[in-house]
Amino acid sequence: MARSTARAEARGAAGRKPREDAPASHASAASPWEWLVGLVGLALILAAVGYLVYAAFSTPESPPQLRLSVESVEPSGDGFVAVVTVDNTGPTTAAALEIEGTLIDGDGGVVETSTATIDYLPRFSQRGAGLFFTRDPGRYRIALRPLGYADP
Amino acid sequence: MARSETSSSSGMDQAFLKGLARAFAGALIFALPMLMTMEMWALGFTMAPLKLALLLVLLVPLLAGMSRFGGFKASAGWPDDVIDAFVAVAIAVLAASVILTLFGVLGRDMSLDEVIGKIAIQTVPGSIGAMLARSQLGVHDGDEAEDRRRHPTYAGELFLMAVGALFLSLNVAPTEEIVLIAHQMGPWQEVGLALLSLALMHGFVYAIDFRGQHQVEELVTFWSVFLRFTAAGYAIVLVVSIYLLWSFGRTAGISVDSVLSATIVLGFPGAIGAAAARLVL
Repeated sequence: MARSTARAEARGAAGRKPREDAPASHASAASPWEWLVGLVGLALILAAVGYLVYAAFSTPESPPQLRLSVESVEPSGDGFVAVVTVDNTGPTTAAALEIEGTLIDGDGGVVETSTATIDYLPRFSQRGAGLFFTRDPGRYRIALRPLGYADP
Repeated sequence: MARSETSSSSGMDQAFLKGLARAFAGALIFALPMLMTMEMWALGFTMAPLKLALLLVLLVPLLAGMSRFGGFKASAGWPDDVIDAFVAVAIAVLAASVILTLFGVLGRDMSLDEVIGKIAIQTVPGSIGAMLARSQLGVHDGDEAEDRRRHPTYAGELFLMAVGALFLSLNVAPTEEIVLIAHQMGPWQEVGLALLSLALMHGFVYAIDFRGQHQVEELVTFWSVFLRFTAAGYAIVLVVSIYLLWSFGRTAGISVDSVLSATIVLGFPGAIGAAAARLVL
């Protein structure tokens, strides 16, 4: 069966399958278990590809759509931390997302401002963050807003 | 449908389980660097869904081709090779899911989109590793498979080089360093790196006497071998590089100059991978 380089190349270049590809035995060497696991693999690939293609065509391109909400306010060290959740309902990932929280008193005056940065906020996902304040946010209104992001 | 002798089924099952364990080990060994790379996690949700889908679709013939041309085990034909490919995929998905969950990269509060993306991108190196393990850590090949491995066709050789290039390039393609290195290099350094890649490829496979070494016949001149294998192989390496850069969104809005430079940088590990594939596979 030894073939020379030149012959192998000629055959490859001709785009033909090697003729010894048809062995005497045609029985499948795969066991039923192999078939089963193989089918699982096939199903996984089909599901993933199907989902990705669906995701690509079902959502029009748009920038990240962000919703910020305060989950809770806890004492932390000498001050307080406002635990914040950022929800991205858009089909685009926001990288280096900066968020800002401001404590506002009854007269509309700014009492204190804090920021936090979220490395990645994936599309259709949420991430948590914390904003520290020296004064008790419970006694003021907390205004939250995203400042900016970068494309990943 | 699947046929088998029921009398020997328990023996076959045991062999199959061993094969699965081997594939799982392979998926871990080869994919672990990528399972522990932050950029790979991020790619799961930053990569364009269609590009990720394309990568998964291309993965199947790639794995089946590895099973065939790599001659990893005595396989009866293409159907078996395709089954092998899907088995490798299933194992890789399992390995990635388990490890990423343990690492806390996957969590219950994450969207389906994020979870699918993170696992899908890791399936690529994982399944290649699973496929490799069935050969490298495996039992003795059948004579036919052995013959195919020792004397692959020219197309088979080029294919294996592409697999090697893809595998090693994939390790570094998602990282920031590729672009950074490309920015740091001047034109002469780029030419130098391209020449070094070519020289290493040529030296690795066709000058060193080694297992998997292509038999260079006396009549075949240096230039003939160089053009047909090394140059052709490097061309494949560059195509693989540019495909990965495009897939990972590293070509969008970037000058042709910078893309070319990044392609050469990524082509360096690719060239080593392509050359090593001829030694290892």
